[in-house]
Order: sequence, then C-alpha cells, then structure tokens
Amino acid sequence: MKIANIRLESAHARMRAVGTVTWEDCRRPSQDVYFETTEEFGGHLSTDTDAFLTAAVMPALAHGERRLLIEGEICPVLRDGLVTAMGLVSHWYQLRRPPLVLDGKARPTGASRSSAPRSAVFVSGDIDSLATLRANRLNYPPRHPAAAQDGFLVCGLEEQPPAFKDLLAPLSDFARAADIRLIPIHTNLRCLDDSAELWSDLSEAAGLASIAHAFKLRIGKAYIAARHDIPNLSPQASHPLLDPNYSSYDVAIRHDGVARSRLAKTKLVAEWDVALAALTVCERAGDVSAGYLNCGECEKCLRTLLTLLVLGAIERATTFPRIDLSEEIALSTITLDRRNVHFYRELIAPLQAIGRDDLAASIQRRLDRYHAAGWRRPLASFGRHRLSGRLRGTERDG
Amino acid sequence: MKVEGLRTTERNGRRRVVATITWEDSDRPAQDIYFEIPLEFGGALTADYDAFVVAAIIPALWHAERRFVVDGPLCPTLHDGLRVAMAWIRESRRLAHPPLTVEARHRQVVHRASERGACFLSGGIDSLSMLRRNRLDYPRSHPASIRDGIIAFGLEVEQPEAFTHVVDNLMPVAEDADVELIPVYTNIRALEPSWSVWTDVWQGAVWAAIAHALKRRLTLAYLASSTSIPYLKSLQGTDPRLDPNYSSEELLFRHDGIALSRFAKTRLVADWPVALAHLRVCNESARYQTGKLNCGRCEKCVRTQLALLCLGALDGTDVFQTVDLSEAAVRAVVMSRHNYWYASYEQLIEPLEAIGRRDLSRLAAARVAMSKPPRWRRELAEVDRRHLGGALRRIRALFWRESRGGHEANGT
Repeated sequence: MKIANIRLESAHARMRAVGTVTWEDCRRPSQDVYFETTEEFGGHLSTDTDAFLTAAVMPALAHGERRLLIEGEICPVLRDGLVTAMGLVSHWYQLRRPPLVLDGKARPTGASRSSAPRSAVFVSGDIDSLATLRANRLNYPPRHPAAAQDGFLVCGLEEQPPAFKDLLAPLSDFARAADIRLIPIHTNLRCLDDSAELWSDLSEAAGLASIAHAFKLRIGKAYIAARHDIPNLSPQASHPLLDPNYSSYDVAIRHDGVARSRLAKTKLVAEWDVALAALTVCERAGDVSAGYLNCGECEKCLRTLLTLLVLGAIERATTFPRIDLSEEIALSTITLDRRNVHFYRELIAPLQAIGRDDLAASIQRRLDRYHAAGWRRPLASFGRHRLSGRLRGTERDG
Repeated sequence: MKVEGLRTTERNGRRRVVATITWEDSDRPAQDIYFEIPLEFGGALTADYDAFVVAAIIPALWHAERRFVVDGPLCPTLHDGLRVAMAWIRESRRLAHPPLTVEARHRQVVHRASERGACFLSGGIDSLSMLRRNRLDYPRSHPASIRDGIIAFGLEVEQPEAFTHVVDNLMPVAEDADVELIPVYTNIRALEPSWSVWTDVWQGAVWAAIAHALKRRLTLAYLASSTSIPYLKSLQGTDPRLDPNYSSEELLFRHDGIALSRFAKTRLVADWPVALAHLRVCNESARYQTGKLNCGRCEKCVRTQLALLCLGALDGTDVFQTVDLSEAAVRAVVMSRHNYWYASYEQLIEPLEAIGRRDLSRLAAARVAMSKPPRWRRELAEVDRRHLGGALRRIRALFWRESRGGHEANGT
C-alpha cells in the first residue's frame, strides 16, 4: 500500500485533509481518504502522515499488503505503537499474515506536549462517551490540560448512523452546557474496507485515533470511551491494550473508562441532566419518532431504559418515547450475545432491589437460555476434535 | 494509609527526598520511604507526592487499607490511572475487600520539565535490547530518544559491592549509547518485602515511582517488558495493562517491547558488541566478580547461553563465569521443577534444531510440554468460564492466596 499526495482542500465552506491510498498487493482501486471539517476548525487540520498511516494500517494488514509506504516522515513513537498493535491483533485473531512493514523516514522531532494542551473526547451521545466526559469533568480541574475541551462529532463511521443533522442539534446544546467545543467531522476512512467485522474486530480505535491525529495542530490528547469493563474484556478493535498504541509523540490516545461497569457509567449520565437530554443509544435510527433521539424498542434502547429504571432516572430520559417496560417486551426484545450478556447480568440484582422481579426474572430466563445454548458449544467443539464431527448437529442447534 | 511529611535532605554526597508512610488498618509500623541520587543529579529530584503515592498504593491495596490519604496535591491524570491499575489488580487477583479510596486534592497546574527520555537499565536482555532498538529507530534529535539510563539500588540488587559491579559494568554500554547513567537508591521495598507481591502486582509501580521522583529532569521513562504478546495471560507486577496507568501529566511511563520475543531481543543484543561484552542476566549477585557478573550455571544464564548459541554469538562473549551446554548439564537446569520460563524455551526449539543441536531442541520442547497445562485443564477452564461463572477459578485463587501466605492474615 502507498499513501501519497497528502494535501489540504477546501470547498463549500469546508476544509479537508486528503491522502491518496494505492493498494499494491491486492486488487482494489486507488482511493482518496479524507478528514473534513467546517472552516472554523479547518485551520487545525494537519497534513502530516500520522492520521493516514493510522487509518490505513489495519485494512492494509487485513488484506495482506506487504508494506505500507507513506510519502513523508513517520513519528517513531507511532510506528513503534502500530507494530505492537498489529502484533496484538495478529495474535488475537491468529492472522496468518507476514508482518506489514511500515516504510518511511522517521520524523526527527516531536512537539512538546505542552504545545498542544487541549484534550478531546469522541462524543456520539451514547452512554460510554457521555460517561467519559462526565468523569473527566468531575476528576479534572477546568484548566488542566487533560480536561476535555473539545468534542469530536464524527459522521461516516457508523453502520446505520442517525442523520448528522438530527444529532448535531441536541449535541450542540449539550456541548454548550458541558462547556466543550463541538468539532463536526466527516470522514470516508471506512472506504478502505467497509466490512462490519474489520471495523469491530480490528479498525475502530485506529479509525478514531486517526481523526485525533488529523487535528494534532489543536489537541495533544484524545479519549476513546471504553465499551466494556475489565471483567468483561475480550479481543476487539477498541481495547485498553490496543488503543494507547495509536498514540504518537504529539497526540496521546487514551482508552478511558475501563474501570467502570455499564451500570456505573449510566449512573454518571443519569446524574447529569444535560447529558440525559442528549442521550442517543439507538441502533435503529430510521425508526425514531419525531421529537425523540431513540426508538425505545431496539435491544440497545431497552437495555438502556432498564438501566435508567433501576437508577430511578427513567422519567427524566426524555430522548426516549414513553415505554411500559413489561416482561413481555423484555422477553421479545432482549437478544444476547457475548458482547452484551454482561450488561444484563449486572441488572438482575438492582431490578430485584426496586421490586421489579418480573423484569429480573425475564432477564434471568434469557440468560439461562443463552447459557444453556452455550454448553453445547464446547460439546460441539469436543465433537469436532475428538469424534470427527459426529456431534456437529448440536452446534447448529446452539 | 497516610503519606505525609515530605522533606528533602542532603548527606554523603547525595540528595534524598523522604516521606512518611503510616498504615491505618494494618498492624504495621510507620516507615520513612526515600529516593536518593548523587548530588550531581540532585536537580532531578522532585519534592512532591506523586512518587510516594505510586510506590505505596499497591501495598496499601494489597493489605486492605480502606483509604489512602495524601498530604499534598496529586496529579489528576495519575489519580485516574491509579484507579484503573487498582481495578486491574482487584479483578485479576480476585481481591475481596472494598476498593481503596484515594483522598488527595488535585494539582491544578502542570510543571513539566523539558522533554527528556530515560530508560531503566539493568544490563539484561530486555533493557539492553530496548535501548538498542531506541537507538536504531529514533533519530537522536527526537525527544523520545533515550538520554538517561536509570539503575536502581535496593530493588533487585541490595548489596553495595554488587551494585558497584553492576554500575561499573554498565558504564561502557552507557558511553557507547551516549546515555547518562543515574544511580538511584531507594528503600521502597521495605514497605512490602514479599517477593511474590513484588513480581505479581507491584513491580511496575515501583519502577514508575522512581521515574516520578526524577521528573524535574524527565518527561518520559521506558520500562522494558519481560514478556511478549503471546504470553500475556495472567496479570503480572509489570504488565502492559498496568504500567501505562502509572503515568502522570508530567511523566509518561511506557511499558516497552511486547511485540518482540525474548529471542528477537537477544538477537538485538548479540548484534551490539559492547552490549554483548557487558551483558548481565544473572540474579546471583553474591557471586558477582569484576567483569564476570553471570554465574553461567543458573537457569537464566543457561537460557541466555542457549539463545546466544543459536545466534552464533556465544563464542563472542566472555561474560559467563562458566559455559557448559552439554545435554546433561542443560537438562539438570532446564528440567528443574523450579523453572517457570517455558515461553523462552518455546522460542528456542526451532533455532536449536537449525544449528544441529537436536539434543537441546528436544530438551526445550520437553520443557515447554511440561509447563503447558494439559488439554483437559484448558477445556475445564473454558467450561468454568462459560457455565460456572468462574467458580472453579475462584476456588483455585483462594488456594493460591493461601499458599502464598500473608494475605489472609490481613483480613482478605
């Protein structure tokens, strides 16, 4: 893979940093990858290699490119980190690839950390990002360089994003109340490979970090909100072991919030009215009724509503339509997988504590069913290895 | 636990920063903990509480102190990181007592020194390969290029004479790499002398504490990893999941080198003549002699000799007091039940085969097979994780704690 011709372009009151990506070892067309923002923030876009290198490294690795040659100097700290990041994902997913060589001259200098003392947080409106910002507000003095002053609102990364304009209005209100500058960003970095698996397993944090690097003239640190807490970590594209490797000398990338459970994070959000008024967790943006930011019916909405219920905050959750949380709704909506099962597990005791044994029981029933199916998986695995697949039918049933 | 009474003293040509640590919930005496450096580096010593907090918080957590009171401001970034580090330790070691609450006011401003990087330099494979890689990959003008090498007395080398040997031995390496060698003296380990606490949960924090003590001179400190990605399983005292959390806004603490295997690191050292001539891997410090710091007989020496043999570099160094890589001699060391280092032997199987030492390659393979849990145990662990909610692991952890001793005595 080659990345060349990194440049700034400006049109229609927007500025973008653009680089041309050419694949060398697989048949994919050349692509212009860009990071775009409004004129107000366009002066802070950087045209050095860090953003493009970080955005392209995982797609290049996944598609078996042998090298990534970039026109310009590479930050040696970032190069070191990317090698480690590739080592981690190669080990996690047993990628049988020759190592990708990062080809380019080492940059001889780095910015002093004190030269860009602003910190930014990625703001999507979900529980994780709002909790990260809330914890930051509570834990850092306002003028401290690690206190978040900017919020990146990014369009172009989600599978089914809410319309940008629908998100911009409530989050702009929120940003004003939370005293952060909201920086709207459009990027097409996922054009390098738009598969959901690549994004969720390998690329997500690298993509977010690349956006932070694109704004290195403005920020020295960016927080990526953790999705899972320590007891529930598993290999995925944003992980406390992985994300800091996307730091350069100039921009530190922090995976934030891994010590807090989802319930603890939701509590942080529930105790902050301005955040509750901007809360956007919904996965079905197309089904959201006018006047709301969430459909209230999808799995993620239901899970968040259940959590707000146990925290006594559901009445104040005005971004959701009023839903009567019944056993039937819980049973019909909850679908468990390895990435959400622990969110439900931690709700059972609090639901019982507020007297909603019906909801606790329905979650427990779902969990029992999930685990009952689960015991068949190792059995099927055993069958594959020891009995030449004679038990394979059990895996399908599971 | 309380940390208070910060003061600086000078005597015998050294400057020392001291604080008093008082236990509140454990029946342990108050202790004065110090960091000390020669006066020529005295300007590097920092008189704030960050270093003492990093040094003492893990023993406080381990011994179930309920709060950690700091009599001075603390960097909020460091405070945040310590919460995460403690969460990792609580989860990985299944600590049952409530989390430790840190009571400290936050430092409002950042006093950052001019950009300068240092590494901890013991003279072993990990630290020498880290320094070498830094020299190869970082332009000298880059602020992350290593300029200082820190060598600590009182952690793993505790006899003054042995420490002198270690420092003298490192001087030529420091000169060749153009780093300034800074000896640091500390009694941190008096807080918790247990070797298992040191290796299992504490080590990274202690090294970080030393770097914090020098932050009027440093903004970046590298600690060489002693493991590599495929072997990152249970949390260790120095670990890439833990160590970065000991960073503050003023000092970045990096756990460096997990992408390289021990064998790849040994190759880096073997290709650096001055490092190969001054390598020190042996922990048998009582046997140190001038210019001969490796006994040549212990497991670590033999393991390193095997790697150097594969790389064709063993004949090019005389750092070992003795070399005997006959099958019988190697078997006696490698197959000992006290040898836990199967990972390094896994990396040696093919290279030993490639140089025609099938006898040693078979030994390495046997060592690995002996160390890896049998398949039934791995499958049982999976069933436990998925269906028993980790009950078997918790029972095992309970026995583990009992066998290590000390912990139950403190109410956990």
